[in-house]
This record gives sequence, structure tokens and C-alpha cells, in this order.
Amino acid sequence: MNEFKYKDEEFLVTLQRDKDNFSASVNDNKYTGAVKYLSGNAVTFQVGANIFRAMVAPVEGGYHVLVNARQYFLPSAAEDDHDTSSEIGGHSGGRISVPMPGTIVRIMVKDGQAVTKDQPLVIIESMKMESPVIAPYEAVVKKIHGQPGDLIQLGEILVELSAPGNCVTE
Amino acid sequence: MFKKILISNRGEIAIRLMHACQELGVPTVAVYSDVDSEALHVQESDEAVFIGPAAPAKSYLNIDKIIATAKETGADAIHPGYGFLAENAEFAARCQREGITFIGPNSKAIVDMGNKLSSRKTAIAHDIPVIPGSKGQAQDAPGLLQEASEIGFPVLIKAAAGGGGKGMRVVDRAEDFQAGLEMAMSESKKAFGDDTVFLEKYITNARHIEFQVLGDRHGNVIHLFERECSIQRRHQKIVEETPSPAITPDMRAEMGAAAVRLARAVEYDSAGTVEFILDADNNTYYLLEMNTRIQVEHPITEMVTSVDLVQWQIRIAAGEKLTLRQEDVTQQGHAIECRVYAEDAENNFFPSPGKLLVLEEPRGPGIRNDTGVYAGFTVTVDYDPMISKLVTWARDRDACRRRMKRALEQYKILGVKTTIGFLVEVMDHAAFASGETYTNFIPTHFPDWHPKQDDSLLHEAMLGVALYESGCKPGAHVAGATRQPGPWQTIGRWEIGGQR
Repeated sequence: MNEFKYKDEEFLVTLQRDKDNFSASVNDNKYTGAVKYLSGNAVTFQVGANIFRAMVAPVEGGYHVLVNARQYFLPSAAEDDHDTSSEIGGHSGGRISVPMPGTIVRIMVKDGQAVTKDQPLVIIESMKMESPVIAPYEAVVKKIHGQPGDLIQLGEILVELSAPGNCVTE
Repeated sequence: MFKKILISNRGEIAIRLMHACQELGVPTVAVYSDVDSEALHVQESDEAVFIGPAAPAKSYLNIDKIIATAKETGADAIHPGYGFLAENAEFAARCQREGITFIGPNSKAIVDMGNKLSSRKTAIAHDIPVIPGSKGQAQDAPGLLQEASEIGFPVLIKAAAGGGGKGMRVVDRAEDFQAGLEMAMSESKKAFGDDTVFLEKYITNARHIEFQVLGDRHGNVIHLFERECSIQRRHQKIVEETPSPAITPDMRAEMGAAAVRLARAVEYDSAGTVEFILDADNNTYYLLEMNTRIQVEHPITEMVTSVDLVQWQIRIAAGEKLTLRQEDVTQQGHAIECRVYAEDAENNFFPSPGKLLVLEEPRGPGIRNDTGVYAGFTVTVDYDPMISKLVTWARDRDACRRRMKRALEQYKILGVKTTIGFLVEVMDHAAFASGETYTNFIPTHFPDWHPKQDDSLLHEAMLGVALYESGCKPGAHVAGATRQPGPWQTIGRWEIGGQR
């Protein structure tokens, strides 16, 4: 059984396999089919007359999936109930992480400061380019982690903001 | 021929150069920085030497270290590839002093063509059109207006100290000149502390068309036709093709001859590229610059001419005569190159480093993929995020375009975000299909581009994950197809000739 949360919608996936044949469900939709190939990251299966060629790569928080040239990131619902983002990085419960490793160049705000949506919070440098980490919503800065010059890793929490809709300094 | 060649580069170009060396029977030495110890170029070479930290200045640009490494390993030539030290005249001269052959042009040609002012002068002296511009004497408004009228509107006002688009204004009509000039001067003053400006003809519908040249150390120079590289993002080429859909055989001959004249003028003795801007409104071409190196997009020329440019570059550096004559070189079919980057197309094409979890390259006739990565390799933040140069060849342009689209769709990469989806849409665009390719193609047709949201295979993606998980569990049954033993496993003991 797998549970995903994709674009705010919950998906419950069940699977029964009998050798190469399987029957499965995604919420109320039923599928029966057969596995054609399953090795490493590659899964090829048939549903009706249609062949689907999938590549699956599990990462923290979900799965990258390529199926017939379409790419999806499927966040596991169980990992974090607050995380509605289908992106790596982004914000979760007011904690903002960076979408890539980099170096902190400048910190634009102070702890306790009220910020507006899209306001730059921190400038990070990665691959010789500077880019702002912006506030995803109006909030109060609870804590900035790190100082200019610090190396920040993928997924590391950089800024903590007050919860959405809570702009009162705590 | 050389005894051993040191490759002072990394990534796909280092691999490309090593393949050429392998085919010429010359051993190679790779150099690498600390983040590149597992890079493909290290694995493809015969010897590999660690040269320093990730910062290019301390490794791939460290002239002393690279020269010392060549001496220690007994390499008698260095190939710089493109970027890093490729157009560094000081490095080329240093190699010469140290008795090591620099695989590239003579250092004087690098200097002469590297400076925009001197290359412009050389071009004018050899009857090669340059973009009309101000002579730089007038700085007062009436004088500049007079010059603008001589150049012809629209004109571009540029800050002399400029860069990054600051202090730049396009003026379409004489009556708007005064206002445009004042704005450009004030912006320039604010940005650079200097309000000196110069004028250049502004080309509304421009194409970037460049000619590949090849010269040797015996005075022979030929061109290998053009490449059109108009599809650019932030002045970075992302799609290149040859032949250009825009130029006629007469123009090709004329521009090719101009490229050869310029190369001859500087006694060019390697592979190089003469870049032109083509004003599509009146089919006039102007010299942009000459690049004194093997160019990123050289594979498309190799595909249509069947000439191995890198091997020739090495043979010429070793003193061989260029035995190819101009009339020996022909263009067969059509080739397109797409540069596939680890970038997030949804987020303004920001670099997207990370580990490549899945990598499956497209295959089939007419497909070439020059790459420097492998599944399990981590694309780092330290260097250019290019994953590969995907090249397709076919009999004609449309077949080539369709083949490229198919190849892109079969290129499977997971773990980093890539520009593949974007490139598929470029191949599919009506303007590209009809050859309407100008340098403003991306801002015009793909402003603020976002990937199409297509959730039609979402459930199938979820089934894929569930099946993948079912295959990962210990003792889980694996579909028959994966465990079918091949004939070599089932044949049992065997030996050639049957004699013991």
C-alpha cells in the first residue's frame, strides 16, 4: 500500500501481485495488468493493451517517476502531513529550505521582522549565480539559520517563519 | 604524432577529446579537482592526476600546476578543450616556452582575435563587413545624432563602460534620439560612474550564423560550412543546427570565403569559428567575433561533413598538413544539437544540481550524445550544469527535427531537473519547424515558460511506484522477463575449436 499527496489530493494505492499479473487500485479506480519487466529503477507494465514504461527513483519524501516521457514527483503522504509542496525544497510548516546546495551571500531580514509575500529573505549563491530565497507568504521571521559565507545543503532549513496567516510577532 | 596528451578540461569535452586521442592511438592524462575524483573524464583516461580544489582558479585554470603535471607525466602536448584555458594566450605562450605543444592556434592569433577592437580592424582591412558603429569621437548630442543618422536607424546606444544591459537603449527614430541618449547616459553614469556612450546599428531580426574553419601550419585554410545558433537563452546557445535554413548557396560561399580570409589574415593554424550576425531583413552579414578554440557545437559540423574536427586539430598541432581541400568538403543531410542542462525550467532555468539517479540515453540511427556524466554521478554546483549535447542527423531538416524530438522524449533522467521538456517544445514549435529562428526566439515564443501540466499518466506513475516497491521487497517475485538467462548462461561449458 502506498499513500501519496499530490497537489493537495490524497491518493491511496493498493497492489496485489500474483507472479507477473497484478490487480491494483488508485483511490476508486481499479486496474488489472501484467508486469513485463522489473529491474533496478525500471518497471514496464501492461494495462489493457497499453504498455507503460516507468523509471522510478525513491528520494527522501517521495518518488521521482518518469512514465512514457512524462515526469512526476509523488510526495509520500506519510512523510509530512504539512508538506503540500510537490517540489524539493520549498517550505513546510513555515520552515524554508533551499532548492539546491549553495553559499549564503547576504541575509536580508532579521529575526522577528515582519515580511511580505515574495520578499527576499536570504541571497544564496550556487553555480556562480546569486538567487533570492523569498517569503512564500506574509509572515514574521522566527529564525534565520546560518551566516553569510556558510555552505547550505539541499533540504537544510534556512529560515523559519511564523505559520501562514499568523503575522503577529510571537 | 604526440607521445601523450594532457587534457586540461573536464566534462563532456574532455571525454570527446579523449575519444579522438584513443582513435589516434595517443595515451591521455586527465587532471581533476577534488569534487571531480569520480568524474567520467577521470575514468576514461589512461592516467589521472589530482590538481587542486574545486575553484577553477586553483585547478583547471592553474597554469603552473597543469604545466608541472604535463612534465611529470611526460605529456608533450596539452589540449585545453573550450572554456578554462582554451583562449588564454598567456597559457599558449607558456606551453611553447616549456616545450609543450598547445593544441590550438598560435598565441598571436589568440591575441589578435581575442580583442574586439583589433579583430574589427583586421576584418575591415580584409573587406569583411563589421556592424556599423560610431567612430567614438563625438560625445555631444548633435555629433552623436549625426553619427546615428549615418549608421541608419534603429541604433543601439551602449555604455562604453557597460555590461549586463545597463546603459543600453534602442532608438527607432531620429526624433527619439535625444531622449534615448539622455536615459542611456544617466543610467551609465549611475551604474558605471562614466557616461561615455557609443553607437551601433541595431538589428531587429538577427540570426547567429558561424563558420567552422580549419587551418594548418603550412598556410592551408578551409571552411566547413556554417552552423546556425540563433536559439539562445541569456546569450547562451541552446539549440544549434546545420545547414542554416536561412542562407542561400551564394551567401554560404561568400560568408565562407570571408571566414577563410579572416583566418588567413591571422595565420590561423587550428580549428576555429568565425561568428557572424545575419540581418534577416536585408540578408546582410556582419562579423561578430572569432573564437579561437574547438566550439561546443562542433559535433553538428562533424555529422554533416564526416570530418573529425578534433582529430584534425590534434594532427595539425603535431605538424601534419591539412590534406582536405575546400572542394573535398560537402554538407550531407542535416544535423541539430540540443544542449541538455541540469536546470529547473519551472524556476527561471536555475541550475539544479544533484545526483543522477536514473540515466538512460536515447539510441538509434543518427543519434549522438556527447556526455560527461553517468547514473550515480553527482552534478555539482561548481561547474557548468550541462549534462550532454544531444545531436541528431537525418537526410533533411524536418526528419532531423522529428528525430530530435523522439530522442529527447526517450532520454530518461531522474534526480535532477533538466531542460529536456523545454527542448521538446522548442522542436515542436511552428516557428522552429518553419525555420523562423531569430536570436529573440525564446523571449518571443517562450516568455515566462512553464512546463505543461499533464497529469494524464498520474495513476500509471503511482502504479509504477507500487510495482517498483513490490520488486524491492526481499523474496518478491520478479517478472520472468528480467531473469531470463541469456544463451551464454545456459550453454554450459564451451570452448573454441573443441580441443583440449
